[in-house]
Amino acid sequence: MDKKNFAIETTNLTVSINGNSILNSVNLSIDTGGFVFVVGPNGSGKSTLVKAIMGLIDIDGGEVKVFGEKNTQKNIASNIGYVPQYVGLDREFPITVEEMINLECEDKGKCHKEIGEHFEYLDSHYLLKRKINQLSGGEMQKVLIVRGLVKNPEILILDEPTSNLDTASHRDLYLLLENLNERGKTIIFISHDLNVVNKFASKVLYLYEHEVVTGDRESILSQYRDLFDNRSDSNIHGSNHINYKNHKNTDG
Amino acid sequence: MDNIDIVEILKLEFMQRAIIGGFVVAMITAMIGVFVTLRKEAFIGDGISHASLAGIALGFFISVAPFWMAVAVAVFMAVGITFLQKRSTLSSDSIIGVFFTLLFALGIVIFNLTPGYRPEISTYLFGSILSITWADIFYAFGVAFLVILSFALFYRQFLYTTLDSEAAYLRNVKVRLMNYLIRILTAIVIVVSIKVVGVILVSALLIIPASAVKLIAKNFGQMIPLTVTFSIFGTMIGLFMSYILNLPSGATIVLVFGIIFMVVFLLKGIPRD
Repeated sequence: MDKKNFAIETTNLTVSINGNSILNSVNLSIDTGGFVFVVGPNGSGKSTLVKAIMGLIDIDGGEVKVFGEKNTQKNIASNIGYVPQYVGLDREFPITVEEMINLECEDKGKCHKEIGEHFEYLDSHYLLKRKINQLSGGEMQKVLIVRGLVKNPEILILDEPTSNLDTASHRDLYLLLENLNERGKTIIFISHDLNVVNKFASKVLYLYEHEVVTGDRESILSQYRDLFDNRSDSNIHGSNHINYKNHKNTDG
Repeated sequence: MDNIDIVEILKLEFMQRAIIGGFVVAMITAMIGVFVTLRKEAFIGDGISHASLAGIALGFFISVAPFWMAVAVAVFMAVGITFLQKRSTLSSDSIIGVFFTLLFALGIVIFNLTPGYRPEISTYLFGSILSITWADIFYAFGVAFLVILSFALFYRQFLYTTLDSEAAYLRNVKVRLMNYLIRILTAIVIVVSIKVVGVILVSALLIIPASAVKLIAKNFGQMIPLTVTFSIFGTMIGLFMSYILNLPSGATIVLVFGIIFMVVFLLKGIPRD
């Protein structure tokens, strides 16, 4: 298989924060053009996993590749768009949405056309002239989604992007993501909302106890629901475990 | 006061030096102060300024240019804090607190041990814009050139690193390098500003104008022009008031800044329901 068939690969990826193990020798591969949901309980390492992939945090060991190349800053910048949880931004920063998004643009003419299209998709073009402290949580979330798309990235990583969105905006976002995915973009979507996963996911990557399991929605979700109801190690490591622990792609 | 008085004041060479020096220092402290304020690093500015006293004192003690010794200590402090912040489990405040109090104390001790001629320590603690020399102005212009050049080259990177360092990294901005560069520029700007308001009050020049403008700016594009305008206006008013009323220049300038800030804060800084 050509190395470009994988948008992202990790080999023995190990991460600890302040001495606490978060990811333990994780091996995974995400197909180019795939649409993967990353799920898991709070604190299971979902955000840590994507931040390690993007080089935003130091790793203890292992390797990350993006389109077959090491995840250097240049490689990440060329290929990945990221929509973070909005809480990390200083909302009192005196900057407008337009100025913030312009920071992503190198070719402003081309960039502005695409920004306009993305905002239109999310029905939010009226936000451009507002300062970021004048945005609601949902509006800020939409701005961050558009910012993640500005560079027309091959891979889009979204970290719980729906947490502040209303139902209509949920639908608009999924239509946008489906459209992008149909155009060959790889989508990685972190969520702990089971309804979202149930409705939209085909492939799921599940984090639990510092390890990763991948599979199709039905097989993973049955485990996931179980674990939510009764968090027991036997459910994940027992004999009925999905055919793979810590490294296997059940549908790939 | 009538026009003749102003003309007479402007004929005084020390006032001409003070106006030119004050103008340049007000401009560069405002420019770098926008980033110091938005990065919430007021304490770092305070720490670097206090620590640089050790460099000035060392310069007099070993008879090597005090300005350059102060620059060396200030840059050492700026780089040291930036380096340790990433690698220590101590909070930034604690690291800065330890560094600057030790270096400030060292400066006072060295000043007192220095034999022969040395200026009054109060000149450096509280500043004296009216005694600014052409050499001081020359250094200020040099630093202004450095600041303007850095802004011309790295404005977008400075802004993006300050707003959202993760997003900046993902757009190939060298975030760590930008953090060091902003801190080093801050350190050098602080050293040239000490002559104007002194080590104790220099952080006021960095923080007050940018904090006031942050309350009224409609976008980031207004931040630097308005902050520079505030800073130059406040410095000139303070300078003339200090001369006319025979008040300490550094403290008078900071008081003028404070009055302008309070007016802006009362008008715009308190949310009205």
